[in-house]
Amino acid sequence: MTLNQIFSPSRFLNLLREETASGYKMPIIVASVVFVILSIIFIINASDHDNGGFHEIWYGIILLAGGFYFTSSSFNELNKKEERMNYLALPASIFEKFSLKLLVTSLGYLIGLTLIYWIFAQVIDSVTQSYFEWSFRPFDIRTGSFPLLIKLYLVLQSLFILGAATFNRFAFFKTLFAIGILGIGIGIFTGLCFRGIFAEYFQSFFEPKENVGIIPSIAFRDFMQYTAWPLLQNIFWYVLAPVMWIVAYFKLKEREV
Amino acid sequence: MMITINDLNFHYKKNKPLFSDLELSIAPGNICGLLGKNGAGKTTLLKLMSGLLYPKSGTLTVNGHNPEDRYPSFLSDLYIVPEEFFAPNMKIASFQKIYGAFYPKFSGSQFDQYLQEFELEKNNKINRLSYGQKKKVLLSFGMATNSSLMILDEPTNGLDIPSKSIFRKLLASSITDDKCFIISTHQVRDMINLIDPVIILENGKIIFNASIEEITNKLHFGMHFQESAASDALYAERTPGGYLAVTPNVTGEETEVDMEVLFNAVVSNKEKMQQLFKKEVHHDA
Repeated sequence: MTLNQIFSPSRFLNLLREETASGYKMPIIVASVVFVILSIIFIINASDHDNGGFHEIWYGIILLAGGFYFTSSSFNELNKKEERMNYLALPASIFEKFSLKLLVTSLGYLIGLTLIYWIFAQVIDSVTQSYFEWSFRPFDIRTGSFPLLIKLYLVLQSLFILGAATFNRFAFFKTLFAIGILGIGIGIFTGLCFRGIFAEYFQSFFEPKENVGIIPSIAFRDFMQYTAWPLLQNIFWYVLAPVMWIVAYFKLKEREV
Repeated sequence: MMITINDLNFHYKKNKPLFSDLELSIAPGNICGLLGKNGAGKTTLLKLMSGLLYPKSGTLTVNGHNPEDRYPSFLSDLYIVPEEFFAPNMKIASFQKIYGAFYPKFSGSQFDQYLQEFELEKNNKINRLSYGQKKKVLLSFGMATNSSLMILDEPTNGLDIPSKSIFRKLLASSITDDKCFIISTHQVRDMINLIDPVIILENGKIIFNASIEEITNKLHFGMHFQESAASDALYAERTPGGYLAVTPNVTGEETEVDMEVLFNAVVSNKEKMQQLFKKEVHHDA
């Protein structure tokens, strides 16, 4: 196996052209509908001077909800029998097919949305200034909660691309459901561990003993504050997404017609 | 060998095996006919050969590749026209430009020539064409890719009568010593004088695998006017003029193979046919 079997820039470009040619209409239609709805919401809220964070709220909603939905439809080709065969037999490597979808739904979506939203923001900001003589907080992705939203999208999006590679049809809802189930499972497991470790402080399965106050030791607090919490944060920001990408890649590799 | 299958096992449901220890070899330079009743496993076998399904065990190699890897070098040398296919929403010209780039041996001039033979215009939108016309676009494109292996599942379904003969002519002219076309079909009369060898699948087993030369050497296809003569045949069917029968070729006279009658003879008289062809499973195609 040579590197060329995994990645070739010319093949990747061919794949990008194929992706663009076969799937450009739907995102344009969806984007148009979203921005029409957004314009209506803007008109309703335009006179509300307290709503200065309009851009942060709506950019955030479109980025996260829209992006997750868009990502969930990454492998829609695999949901239809005829398209699935066409997609799997298309002469490109699984790595190329996966990385193209990842690129389009993460950076591609982010850049595309930001550009379109920036244009939209310029228009509505000039309208609010001209007609209502006030303005929203300017749309600048370098300030406020925008950087955090973007980072959050890039990390959480990986869960939805895994869902897209795993589930047939309704990947968005199935992914949400799976995340919910996983969350409940982790919650129950953590609760049981806690109950087991602190068994002596309980008088029945759920009921703690009366007049028992648990004050963590300084060493424990330090461990939580300076080791465990930063570790969890680093895992979330830097490990979660790559792990999900790798699992998604192998899930895609497993797919048959 | 172009395709080598050893001890291949495959099932959709664990308790219902489709292929058990399947053995098959197919040489290049042939248009191989894969025949069988509905549910015999023809389409599944084609999907396994093209890496769209994975064997549960055993080995399957195509031109030295393991189809399961789905490496671009394998996929760019294979073209599959399924019975139910996807027709993208674009003009034929755009389809050529976008998809042709994936196939290193794709010839635009050949594609143009095939389209012309099928009387198709390149500025037509594919998804607005009829089923038969869409199929002609895909068949033309497939032949123009010059892939070493072309897999065609019911290629003549939906084609009108003139298009069937154009297809036969084009297919016969595009086969070369380094290529292999595998055609799975129920329309065996459309494939007369085209397919060689003939492979017949039944319940996931290859019950017949022979070249046309072997078939004509060993079998005689002819009309019998008396029922008694037909009753000694391996298979006979009543026709308006008498009985069309398959008998062992004892005289050495070469007769034209009637695919439909051959198929019926094989499935209705399996043991005698296998005895006649001397191997229970004939591996080399």
